Amino acid sequence: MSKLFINLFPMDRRLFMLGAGSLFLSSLNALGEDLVLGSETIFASCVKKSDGSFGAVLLDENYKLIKDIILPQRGHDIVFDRLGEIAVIFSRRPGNIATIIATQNNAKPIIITAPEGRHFYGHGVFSWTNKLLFASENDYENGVGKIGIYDATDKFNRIGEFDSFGIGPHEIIILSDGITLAVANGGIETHPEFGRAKLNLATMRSSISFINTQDGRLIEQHVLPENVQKLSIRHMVSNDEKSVVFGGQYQGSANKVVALMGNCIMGEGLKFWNLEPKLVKQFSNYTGSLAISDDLQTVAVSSTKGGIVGVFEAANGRLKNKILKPHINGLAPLAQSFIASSEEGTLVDLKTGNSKRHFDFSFDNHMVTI
Amino acid sequence: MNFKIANICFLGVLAFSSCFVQSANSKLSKQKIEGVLKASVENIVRPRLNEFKEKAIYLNEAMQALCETPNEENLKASRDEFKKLAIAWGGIEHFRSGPIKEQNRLERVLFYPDRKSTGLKQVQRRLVKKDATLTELKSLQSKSVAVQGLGAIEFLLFGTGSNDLVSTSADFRCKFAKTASANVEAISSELQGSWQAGSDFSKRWMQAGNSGSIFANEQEAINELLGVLVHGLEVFRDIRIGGFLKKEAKYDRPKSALLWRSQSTLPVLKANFKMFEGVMEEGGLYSLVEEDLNGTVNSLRFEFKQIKNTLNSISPPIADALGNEKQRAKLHYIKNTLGYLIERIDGEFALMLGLSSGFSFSDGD
Repeated sequence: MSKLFINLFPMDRRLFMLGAGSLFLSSLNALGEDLVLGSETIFASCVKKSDGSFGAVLLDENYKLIKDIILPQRGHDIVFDRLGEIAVIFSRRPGNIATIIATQNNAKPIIITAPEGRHFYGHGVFSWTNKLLFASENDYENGVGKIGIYDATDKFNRIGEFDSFGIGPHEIIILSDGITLAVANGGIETHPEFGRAKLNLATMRSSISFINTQDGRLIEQHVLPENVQKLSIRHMVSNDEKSVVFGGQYQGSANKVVALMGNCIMGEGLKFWNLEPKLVKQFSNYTGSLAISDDLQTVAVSSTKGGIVGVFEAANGRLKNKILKPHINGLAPLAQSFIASSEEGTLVDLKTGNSKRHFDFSFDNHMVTI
Repeated sequence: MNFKIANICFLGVLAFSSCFVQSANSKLSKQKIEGVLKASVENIVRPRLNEFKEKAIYLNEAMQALCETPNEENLKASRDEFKKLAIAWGGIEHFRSGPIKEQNRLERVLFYPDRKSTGLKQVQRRLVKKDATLTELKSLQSKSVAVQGLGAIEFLLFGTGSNDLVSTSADFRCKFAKTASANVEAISSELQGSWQAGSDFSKRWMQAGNSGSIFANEQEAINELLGVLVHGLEVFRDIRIGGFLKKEAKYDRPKSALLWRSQSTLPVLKANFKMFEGVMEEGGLYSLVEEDLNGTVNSLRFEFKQIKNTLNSISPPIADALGNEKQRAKLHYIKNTLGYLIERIDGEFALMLGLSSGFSFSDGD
């Protein structure tokens, strides 16, 4: 689909369903069920094509393209259900659509839209039972974050919402108790009327909320201190049943170098990692993506802006390795390493630094695996 | 100009050029990048901050005179100086790098957009209460950013009740405005000091990546500069123009336009755009292009010129421009063309500077 077409109808839900939606459906390109069924691992990422259009791809364990999907809006994160049979591709903010695809067959995708007065923030997560999909959303007229609840057993109808207890909820994850939802409230107010502009930098305050998904109750919340008031926590991975590792993006001057990463532990609070200032500076006040190893001991953190990926001990941030490579953003765990995806279309094994494969599209911010 | 035809022609050019996007430069030399950083500071930042500070001093002096001797003449002088200060601010406000992003200086000079009229309500409430803490600089600086800067001063000098400033009955109003003017002057002084020749900050900013530099590497340095341009143009289109110009005329919001009371909306827009063009020309971003097989630079220059000329042909006040079909069409033309301009700088031009698949692609949420 041409960029022009998207630009003409960027947010009009009705026109999307009539126009871009039908084009999207007819453009779905499935390259074979055998590849999916035969693969132990599936990688997924949103991409930007060389003609400027946006899409999403699924790759098998040998990084072979399985599905190549055209999207009407730029995508952000992709979430799988716990069986890996369904993938949900969220639009990047302030997009208001999420595309739901079957990973193992050619069933037609379902497109859901955020309700009136809401848009997605690009992330979501399935409940432990796979019955519900939670999505981070912006209630932009009231300037508050919401967690939309969608029924995965009934065409993903929206059945409710609860507060994110902050502004600008971004990545959300379910902890291993299957009940607690950790929410990274970026703290930045936006309104689709003003594009992607940040409206409250003077007063922003980022936080991590732990919410009971059974009743939407706030269990506890940890707000960033005043000295990092302009740090926006965006992404997290869970490294323990009560703990997450977070990464932030600093909205202040490049002149100030701030700690960007740390642990947030329920019952204890935020603990920034004590990293060498030289290393922190290499991240250019920005973290793009986080991924955690299968044993939950090691975390990889990327900074496209700094051209670096750091590999750390998840519990304390001790540096294990760093890779200086420009344009890397997406990260996903491998058996003994991580795979990193770049804007230049390359997949790199972080352990060896070797390029695994090159594509003629650009990988977007996140890579996920199941 | 027939804007419909112009747009169609433009799309044709765009379609053609995007078919032949030049491949990325291998790598720009550190020396070349530092040359552009230096030119940006010397040709854009410093002269414009000097201008901003000078105009802030003039307004402060005019306010001093008005509060001491309230009369028609001094009110007019204060209003005139405010308008000049607004334009001077418009000439540098979008260079959002370094100290402007510290201590909420940006928001303290100008709190905008103010979607819920928070600033206006705060100013009006405090006017009624005659909150004396607003007439002392240190105290004002601890208050909400919305009552500290140009938005507050504009309402006090041009808003409802401002004509009372010709007499001592509006003494509190005058002192409030004078203190806010002093605050803007103080911030202008801090900014100028940070960027002045020989300052530690400016020396570090002009280095493209070493132990003394603000930037971790050359890529971050050029990202910062291109970010000033791309994000600035986005704000210019989405907030400054998009704030008042809607698809249908009946939804236009002239009273949401920036500094509409002083009829500064269009002059500030013009000053904003002149700075964007300046970053490319005097700032030297164009000079980073080593090989321009597709004539991208000439094409961008043409687009800048078209927007500038169209903007210059629109007359204030903004409410009148919106009420005039031809002028309104020009505003829409500018808004639409800005979209293509941003796309080309963000994509095609960023690629030519070796920034992978487009600059803002790495602004990854």
